[in-house]
Amino acid sequence: MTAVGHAPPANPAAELPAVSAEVPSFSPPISCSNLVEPDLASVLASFGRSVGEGRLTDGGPMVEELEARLARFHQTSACVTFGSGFWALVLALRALALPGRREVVMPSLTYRRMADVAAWAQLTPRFCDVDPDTLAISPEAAAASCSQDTAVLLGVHPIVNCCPADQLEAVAAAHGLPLLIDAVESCYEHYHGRKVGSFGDAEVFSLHASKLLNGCEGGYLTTNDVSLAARLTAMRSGDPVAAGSRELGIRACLPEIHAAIAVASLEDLEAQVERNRSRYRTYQATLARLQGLRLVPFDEREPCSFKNILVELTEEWPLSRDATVARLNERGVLARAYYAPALHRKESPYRTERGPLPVTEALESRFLLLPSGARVTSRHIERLGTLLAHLGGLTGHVPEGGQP
Amino acid sequence: MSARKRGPADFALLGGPPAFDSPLRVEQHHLPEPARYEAVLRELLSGGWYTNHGPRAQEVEARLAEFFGVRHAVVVANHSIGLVMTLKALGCEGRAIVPALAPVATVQSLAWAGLEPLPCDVSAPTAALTASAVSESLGDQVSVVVAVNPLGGACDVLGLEAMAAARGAALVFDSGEAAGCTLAGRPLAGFGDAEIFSLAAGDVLSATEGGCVCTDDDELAARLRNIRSSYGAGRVVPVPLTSNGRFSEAQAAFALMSLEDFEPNRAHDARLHERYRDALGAIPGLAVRTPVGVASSNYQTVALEIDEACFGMSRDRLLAVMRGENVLATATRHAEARKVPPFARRVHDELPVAAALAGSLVQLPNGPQVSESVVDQLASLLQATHHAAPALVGAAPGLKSGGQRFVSASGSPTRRHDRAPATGGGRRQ
Repeated sequence: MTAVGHAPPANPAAELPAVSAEVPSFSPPISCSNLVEPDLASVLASFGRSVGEGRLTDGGPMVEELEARLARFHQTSACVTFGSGFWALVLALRALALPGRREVVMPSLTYRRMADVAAWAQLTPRFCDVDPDTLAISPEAAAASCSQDTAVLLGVHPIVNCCPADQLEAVAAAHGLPLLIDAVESCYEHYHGRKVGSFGDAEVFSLHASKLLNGCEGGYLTTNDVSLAARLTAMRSGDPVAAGSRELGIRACLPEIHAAIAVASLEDLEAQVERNRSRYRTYQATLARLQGLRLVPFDEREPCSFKNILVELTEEWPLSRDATVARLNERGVLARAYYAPALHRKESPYRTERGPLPVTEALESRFLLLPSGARVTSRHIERLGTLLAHLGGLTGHVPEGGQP
Repeated sequence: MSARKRGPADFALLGGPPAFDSPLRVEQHHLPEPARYEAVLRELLSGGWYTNHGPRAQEVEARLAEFFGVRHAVVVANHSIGLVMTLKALGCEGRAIVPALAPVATVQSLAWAGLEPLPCDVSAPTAALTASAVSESLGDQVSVVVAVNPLGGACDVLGLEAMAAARGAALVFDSGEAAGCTLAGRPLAGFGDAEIFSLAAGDVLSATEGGCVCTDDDELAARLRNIRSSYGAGRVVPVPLTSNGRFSEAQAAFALMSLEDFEPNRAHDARLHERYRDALGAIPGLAVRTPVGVASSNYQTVALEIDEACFGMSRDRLLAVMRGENVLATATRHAEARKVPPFARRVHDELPVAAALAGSLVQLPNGPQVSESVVDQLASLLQATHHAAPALVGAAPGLKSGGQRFVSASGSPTRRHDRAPATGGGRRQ
């Protein structure tokens, strides 16, 4: 797994083969990790409030501020912050799971730790297929996987665009199931006129530095179910008994310093999306000149973050996806395979189940993520175009304006 | 602070002004000077590395390993996640011996690890496990002893080590309150299979939030790092599942500063701990517990034991009185293990020492917001409370947030074993 969040390495040139004049390499490397820089003055002012109140974790003024702002942003009744999106998912699954049932229906082509999330919630993952157009969980496949043993339906907004959340709501309703959605890559998006965050019983987001909102670490959940929000607030404290709860909790609260950094990031969000859009346009122009690569387009009919650059390798591309990623990595381009390996491919000590997965298996070796985020410039993208042209066997073709 | 309480009517519970103008919280909050942490944050925010086992996390692990005198210090998101990770890494199954008096989070960690608790009573002077208490219960199906080193002291560490080794059980210490304590000529950190420390805002060693798992066992350390995250995993080893227990660069930055400041912070807490012992010792029914079972304590926890009959009111009523005066003292973190969900409906006998302690301990404020003068004012307040106890016990509930829960309508001084709620933010676990 390629590392993200690199600071400039000590001597990267020493690790690379001799660089040809025509074939760009990148030092420091460029990654898929957003790493947007938070505003210092904002962070200091925020953290100063926490210090002044003597509340630095397990609740404090910046967590309260962040939760209020995010609830407004997502247009939901409540927002509950957590130490990570991972534990937000685990606690939400536990809180929502129908008692006496053991399975969670979820896609296989998704976040590599999603099955572990289910395992912590003592649920068996039942993998279902995705839709080839959206790359997201297919409502029909999800419905076919639902049974009397399904405790909860877990949808995921894919890395670009959204899952068909309204259709998933219909499936959940038809089967009497709770619906939780992992929205960690979709915090800015709207879907069918509604803000992401308001679908299902709850949606979960991440404040990891690689994501659109940078809190260093962290996560949050949005919901219109205020009693769910209250239950989760008790569960994340590490001492739910003190909060009057009889539920199983684990300490998973967001410390004030992370909340302060996240608030700074939220303040910068619109400007960030603008910069992302500009990067995306540059990618559109650059990749349009190449054969064998298809940039997965954002659905611009609705607000979106333009953050992630997802590319499909088509029949004309001469290399395998994994070889492409490796060759890019060697050149300091920290591209990543998209959700690979698919979860149903992984051995695990806990039980998993699956339905038919023909689309997942057809797609699982074709997609990769190209560098994006705050530290990627248009110059990087143009040079990357040159590198891709070289890898694609079009060595003589120099993209307009892109010099080695 | 307003003038001393001359009579019951001066107490906030009965309509008088609070003794302290602003809330006096339990937590430590030994923070570096703003200029210092601002400089650190400036460098961190502009440096581009925010998490994923960055340079500061790597540095703090090296420094913590040195501080704790262990081969491996694995920093984690917080103490509870660290404890659950440790139990998963050890692969324990079946039953776990726990002290009958334990933090809620410690007992609940067993549920996350799929273990069934077997509470054993604690010894009154240490409020902790002894080898003899555990000996009878270390039968079949017990794969691990999860002992707690509470209140700045320790359990029978050496006895438990010998017992666990002889009987083939794993041994893990919840040392959430014990960072910096020493035992048998070395830090209280390298005993048993692993010890889990808290680096939360209320701890004398603090990252504002966080935890640290210490072990001398290379394999266990490798599994912990692989469970924590793929970042900083080091040597790849198979693990049952991952936990996303990462420690950010921001947490590491604060931990590094706290390590540098540890000695003066500890010295401050020790000085005030002694002041509390002297100032409160003369009040009937109150005793500040002396940390026992360690060679030296970190003195971060000032634990007050209430003898209801002598003092004149229950622990919970005292907390309500103090809350009104803006003193946000709390019950200590320790509850009766047998009552902690999801285990509360199992049949476990009441264990008498734990039951008595669960209802009688108070944690008083320590840390930089507390001075000798504040200690003296608190002593004066507690003395006055003792004198006014009959009137205060009989008073109707009139407080916001939490006061309702603990007042018995008749005001009769019946002993209650339930814990009072945590008040204020930052109760560390």
